[in-house]
Amino acid sequence: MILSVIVQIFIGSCAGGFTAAGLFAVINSIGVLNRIAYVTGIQNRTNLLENMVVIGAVIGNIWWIFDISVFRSASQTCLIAAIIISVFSGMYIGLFLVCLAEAMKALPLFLRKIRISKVIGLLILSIAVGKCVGELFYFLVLYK
Amino acid sequence: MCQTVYLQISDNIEVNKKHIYLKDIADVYCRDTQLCKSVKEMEVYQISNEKKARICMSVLYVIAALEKSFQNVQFCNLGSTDFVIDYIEQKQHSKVIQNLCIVLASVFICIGSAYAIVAYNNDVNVSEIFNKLYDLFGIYAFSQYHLLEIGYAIGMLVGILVFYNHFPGKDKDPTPLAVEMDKSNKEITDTLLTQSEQNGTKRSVSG
Repeated sequence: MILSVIVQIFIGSCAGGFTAAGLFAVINSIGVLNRIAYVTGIQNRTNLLENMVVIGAVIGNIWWIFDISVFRSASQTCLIAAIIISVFSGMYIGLFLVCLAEAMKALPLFLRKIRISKVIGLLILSIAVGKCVGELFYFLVLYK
Repeated sequence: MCQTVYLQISDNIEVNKKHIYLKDIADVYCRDTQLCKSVKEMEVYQISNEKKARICMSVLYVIAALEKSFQNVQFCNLGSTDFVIDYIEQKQHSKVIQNLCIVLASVFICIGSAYAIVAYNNDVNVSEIFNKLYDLFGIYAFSQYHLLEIGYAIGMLVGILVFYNHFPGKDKDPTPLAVEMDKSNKEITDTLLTQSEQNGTKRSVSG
């Protein structure tokens, strides 16, 4: 019995450790944190950003695995907090996806083909608008 | 006394004339302004009757051509030693076509990203995550209004704009995409040069 528990814990921590390595490798290689640090101008506090990734991942894991629901009664504060969380999630995912597209060199190749490099701002705007519209379409029309 | 002429050649040059002079491909400096002027007006290469051409050249070819007409002058190249000259007949597309290109590219990218995000959401099952989020805050009654999902969509718009668009004029740094473009252009130039060396189409002193 105890042996079985020990083996289970061992397997679980192996799986978790390896997944964590993968998560960090992806975030690091596509430069999500670099981008955040650059825009907000806190390049000297990268330790803090790394710690926040760890804390966020742990909290997300606990929430997902134990299916926690903290607040039982619906209130306006809860609603606002949830909306704030989803806005930040959206920002993070948007940043993540554009970082990924850039690391894969999808956009540079495309831009070279059409020979317009002066209007990159406009193209980024169209990515952002496209993502937003696609999102709304997904939630409000396709999978109501 | 032997004069020294300093050249600085950039590695990727676009021209739209058939006669290429040294001033088109390089910055030239010499203490003697008269000599400098005449060196700049030297013809380096002439493109035969083609609409489009791409010439890979070594600096040795340029220097050999220069030394033929300028004795007693020393040439010193401080720029790249191998470079690519792109020749395109007319200067650019007309304004209308170029703007049309931009609009088409924007629409293409916009629809493509919309599709990509729908595919992503489907893939990672975002709806289930939002259901759990509604549960977490005990506001499942509100889930019919899709407030969190709309917040997520707006957040994505804001996130991409804040982190990837510099809002031109506010910040003079190039966007990461511009940096990436520059990098891939350099890599393409390098590859062209290597290929031309292998095919023997590079203009050098031996070839």
